[in-house]
Amino acid sequence: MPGARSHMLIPHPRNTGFPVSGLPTLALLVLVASSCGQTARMPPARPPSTPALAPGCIPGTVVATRFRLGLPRYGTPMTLGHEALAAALSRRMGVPVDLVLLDRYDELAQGLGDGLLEAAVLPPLEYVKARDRAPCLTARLTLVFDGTVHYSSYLVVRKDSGLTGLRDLVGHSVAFVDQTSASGWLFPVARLAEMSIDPLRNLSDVLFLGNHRAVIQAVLAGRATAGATYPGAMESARRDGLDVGSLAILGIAGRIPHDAVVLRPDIDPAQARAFVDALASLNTSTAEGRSALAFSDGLSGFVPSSDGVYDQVREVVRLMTHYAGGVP
Amino acid sequence: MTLRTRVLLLGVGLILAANLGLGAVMLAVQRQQVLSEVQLRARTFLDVLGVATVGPMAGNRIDVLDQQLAALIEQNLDALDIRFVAIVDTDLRVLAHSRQALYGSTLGDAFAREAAARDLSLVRTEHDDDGETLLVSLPIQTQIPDEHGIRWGTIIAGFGLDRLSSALFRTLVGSVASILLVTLVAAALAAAVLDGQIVRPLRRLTQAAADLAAGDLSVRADINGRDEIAHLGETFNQMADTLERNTRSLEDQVRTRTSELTESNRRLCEVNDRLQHLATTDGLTGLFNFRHFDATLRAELRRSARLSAPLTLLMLDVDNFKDFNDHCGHPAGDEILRRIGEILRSRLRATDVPCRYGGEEFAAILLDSGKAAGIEVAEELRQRIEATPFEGEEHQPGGRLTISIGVATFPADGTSVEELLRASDRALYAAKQAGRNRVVPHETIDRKEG
Repeated sequence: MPGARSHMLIPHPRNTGFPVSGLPTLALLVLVASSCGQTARMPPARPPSTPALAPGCIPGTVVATRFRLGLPRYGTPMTLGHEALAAALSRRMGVPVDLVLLDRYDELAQGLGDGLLEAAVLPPLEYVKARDRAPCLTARLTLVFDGTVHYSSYLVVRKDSGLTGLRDLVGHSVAFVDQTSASGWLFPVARLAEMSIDPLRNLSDVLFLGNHRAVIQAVLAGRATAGATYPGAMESARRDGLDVGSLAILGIAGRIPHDAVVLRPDIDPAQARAFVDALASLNTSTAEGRSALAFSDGLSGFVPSSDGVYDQVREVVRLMTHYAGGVP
Repeated sequence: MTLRTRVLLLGVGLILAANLGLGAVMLAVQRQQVLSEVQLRARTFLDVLGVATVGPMAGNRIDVLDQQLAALIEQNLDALDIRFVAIVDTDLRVLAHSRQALYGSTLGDAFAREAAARDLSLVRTEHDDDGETLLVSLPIQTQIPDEHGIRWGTIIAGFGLDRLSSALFRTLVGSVASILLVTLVAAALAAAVLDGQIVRPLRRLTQAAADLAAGDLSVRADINGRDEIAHLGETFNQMADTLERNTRSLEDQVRTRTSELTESNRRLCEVNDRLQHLATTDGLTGLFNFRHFDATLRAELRRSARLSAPLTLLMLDVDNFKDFNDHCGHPAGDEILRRIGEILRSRLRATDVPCRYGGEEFAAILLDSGKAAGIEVAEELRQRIEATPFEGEEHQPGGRLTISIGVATFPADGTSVEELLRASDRALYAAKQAGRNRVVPHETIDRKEG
């Protein structure tokens, strides 16, 4: 299936891989948050988060004078609302906070390792891989979308496809996002593997379309019998006028934790704690939180997390390694 | 109050108390179970509602919250005993309420304040004018287990417990009725069992004891079985057996002893008779002795005086008896005395009292006899003896053995024993003096002496 290895690298709102080479060549889209003295009602006081340090890792000593937080672009125009987040974090931490929007997930992890970022938001699969490479990286927060910390992957087909179950996919074409996408590739393939369906052998064609919107459009247009996506993408497509109502969910895969917030291992624990507490205090229950998080559709806030939350992702990676020889 | 009544009352009381106690405990347990079930349902309801609510809460979709509650209301909350449902934010401001008029207000009651301050569900039962209400709260939050999360707000719902109370009341009424019915049936059964197993056996036992007390030693208690009363009846029968056996043995012993005593009495009477005979009879002649003579004479004198009847006393003496003994020896003399006694016995009436007065002297009391009859009897005796041949009498003067007799008569010759004895003795002396072998009445002596 030659098409199975082809990439259509199209950015998508949540889970996108970009063929951009090297962090230095990327434009660092720095959004300097101005500590402009805005006042906002603080959320109820919460206990300080517990400093997380992986076994064998020593506490860091680096105290950043400008704190840089790396974010996936999520396919959003970079100027849309990020200033509010930077301003809110700066007020809480007492140091300027710069938001760095990157198009490639691996550049986020690499930026942490290279000391170019103090913190980064890593999609779940990228976090697991980064943790494998750097065990001292630990998830400190997990993003909350629509009030939940998990989401699922959907395998959708047109309602008039005549397919009623995942086993019916044998011999049909399926569109995926790319091989770095948790909901657009990893979890749905793992679900198919559980049912002894090998995409490379049992499907007529495997398409990698780069982003979720393209996957949905391909299914609606009949270019692929089925497609792997996630609820947020379907909701976004619906708002954008696509006929999502003509789609049916053929199967659901996994409970995937949302993206993880990690810090560079050598950061000063006090500053790390200040950052975690500042981010955790921002959520949509307050006007300031709503303003700070408005840059991402559905983002509700951040909750303290731990590495164990991503064990299910890790388990699926292990399964896929056994199945397909590894995850790109 | 009879034993049966007391036992029945006690049994009924115990059964009633036990059933009522058990009923109360079961009712309390049932109430707790039902309350727990209601609590579980309430929390499940809130959990489900909470899952559906967290997204709209995080997205500030008040409209969605309101639509969710509207949908709930359409499901007829009353049927679910749900009195109200409220969704509030962290400041207790109402974001949605089953009563839309409360939208935007702030809950200020203690339960709401406590519920908002807790990270866990809160359950409490409260009473108000509407009755008993189960208040349940659920924090709406997003979190990872064991970590702090985002608190979006709280769901508070009130569940009416009136239906539960009514059901429990019906259960209580049914239980009480059942208890009473069970108690009555149990009492009837207990009465029947008590009557058959205890009362009637006890009555039979009592009747047997009464019959035994009345003397019927053959009565036995007719009680079968292996219980305590049967054992009592068996013991009673063993006691009756022993009592009957001992009584029979005692009666046998009494009869034996009575027979032996009768025989002893008979022998004693014989001995007494012999003793009496020996005490009143002279051994040689077989006549009465002097003691009997004296007692009899005194008694007969009193009787004759009372009846004014005559009595004659004869005093007899063998003539020259000393010479006879000297010549013929005392054994021959004793034989003379014995034969004279036989003559007296044979010639006197059965009512007369002959006796040996002493030595060769004899006396005879002739009852109801006057002097003439006495003299006649005396003379006949003298002649009889004179005519009777005695061995050795040839040595007596005249070659014949004779007697002399003095006669004294009551009351002519004396009214007392001493007077009569003295009179007869003086008459005998006079007969001796007159030549022996003759009868001398006392009156003739007086005339001669006078």
